Amino acid sequence: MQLIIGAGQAGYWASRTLREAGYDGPIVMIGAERHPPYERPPLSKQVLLCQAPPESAALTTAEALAALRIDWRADVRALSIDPAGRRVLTDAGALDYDQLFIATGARNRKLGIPGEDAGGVHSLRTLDEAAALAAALADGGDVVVVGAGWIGLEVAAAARTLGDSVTVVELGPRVCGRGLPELLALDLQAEHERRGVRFRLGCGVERIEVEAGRAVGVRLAGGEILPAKTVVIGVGAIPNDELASEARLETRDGVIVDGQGRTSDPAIFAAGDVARYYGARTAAWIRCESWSQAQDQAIAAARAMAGVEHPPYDPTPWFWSDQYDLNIQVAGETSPALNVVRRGRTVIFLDDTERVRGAAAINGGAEIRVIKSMIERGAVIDPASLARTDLDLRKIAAMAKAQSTS
Amino acid sequence: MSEPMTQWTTVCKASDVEEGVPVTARAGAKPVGVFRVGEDICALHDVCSHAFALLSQGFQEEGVIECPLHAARFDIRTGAVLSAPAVEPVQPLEVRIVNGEVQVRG
Repeated sequence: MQLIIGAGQAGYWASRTLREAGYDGPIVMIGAERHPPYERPPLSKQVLLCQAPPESAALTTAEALAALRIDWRADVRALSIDPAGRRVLTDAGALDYDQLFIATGARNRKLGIPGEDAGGVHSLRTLDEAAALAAALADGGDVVVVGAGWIGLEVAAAARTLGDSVTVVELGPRVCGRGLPELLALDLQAEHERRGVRFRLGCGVERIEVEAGRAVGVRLAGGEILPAKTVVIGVGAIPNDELASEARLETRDGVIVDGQGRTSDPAIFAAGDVARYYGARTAAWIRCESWSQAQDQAIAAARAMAGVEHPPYDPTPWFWSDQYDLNIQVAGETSPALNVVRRGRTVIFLDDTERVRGAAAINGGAEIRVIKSMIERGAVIDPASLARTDLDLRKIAAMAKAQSTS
Repeated sequence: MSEPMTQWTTVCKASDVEEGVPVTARAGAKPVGVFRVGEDICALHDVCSHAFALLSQGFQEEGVIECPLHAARFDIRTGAVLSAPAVEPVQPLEVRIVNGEVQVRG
């Protein structure tokens, strides 16, 4: 029997891929939530804007899972793993396995300040949280977002689009400090400001002010109080790797897996937000909380579980965010140690040998995809050509390819 | 999806359509993406079935077009979905070449 812990995007793709790869035996997938597997990108965008109902994020239905003979059990939590006995203890009894797939994802980091659990204080990860936040934002009033990372900015964009008064408080000196190169971070901040979002950067939060059990404000370090009817906390995530570490699997801020998704126990696999793998392309241990990792790494691991070996999972890291009418994408490496070429709202990163290593763009998804293929080919292109916005990047890529092979 | 077009409509010149650099066109109100795959010219309803983006602005690799917004992939010849996040196909249009001009219908 194949047992999958976690019925999110990674768990779903694992279960489906096991079947597609020809595994014919029993598959059990347990999930702590009551919903069938769903994907998260719409939760911080269309769902908050009430442009789509929360259920539209569903990846499948109970009927479709049953048709694939996937035994999905809702509202079941794993409590511990016994690798020697190949058994998982859950709050609904013990389950034996031949191979185990850990897709427990991540949970939101908390600030650890007074008032954080009051009414009107939201965080955003699950479908139910998205539905609750959508209702609060639609209700209007002052919104304070703590954290100017991707989730914070997407929530700010949705709230502002709905006409709410929005202030974003961030401890770091700029928005998306870890995710975006500085040039684009400033550009993105200006886009939010132009639409009326206020920013308090370099600013800590001391407590949530509470009256009658509900948040009424956010007290900043230094004492100033921002009035708030709705507070949203988006300050990063922590991998749910405790089941694995307590079972003595190797973990390091995530479950360590190889290119086949295998953990330090050969009968146990992991993928998605909870997993950390070695990326040979970038020579770094990567745990990427992205839609594409939840899907593609789970597919790779499930193939290996079904006995289909494949090249190691080692994609060019890739991420997107949608805010207002802006689509923001980041691919590959965007380290400040690399050389930068600016091409309109696309920023391209080259190493000292003019090899293309990464890029980030606002409304430049098409260019990011061309750059991804340049990165994967190891393309060397002179910065002056790359900067030529009068030429389609696809043509620049074709010219460079022709030169290198001539 | 917009109303089917029963009339042939000229959208561009065949010589404008390079492989790997699709043409973004319109036939009346309908956005049309025109693609070259080898010797063939193909056309699709140009809007991704997942979110609003023009497929012709995306990345073509042989007979596959990848959406510039979230990288859903479609078969250029049939409009079929090849990978998530899209789940619905896009409409393929009939194509004919008349005097070097690309005409579409459907």
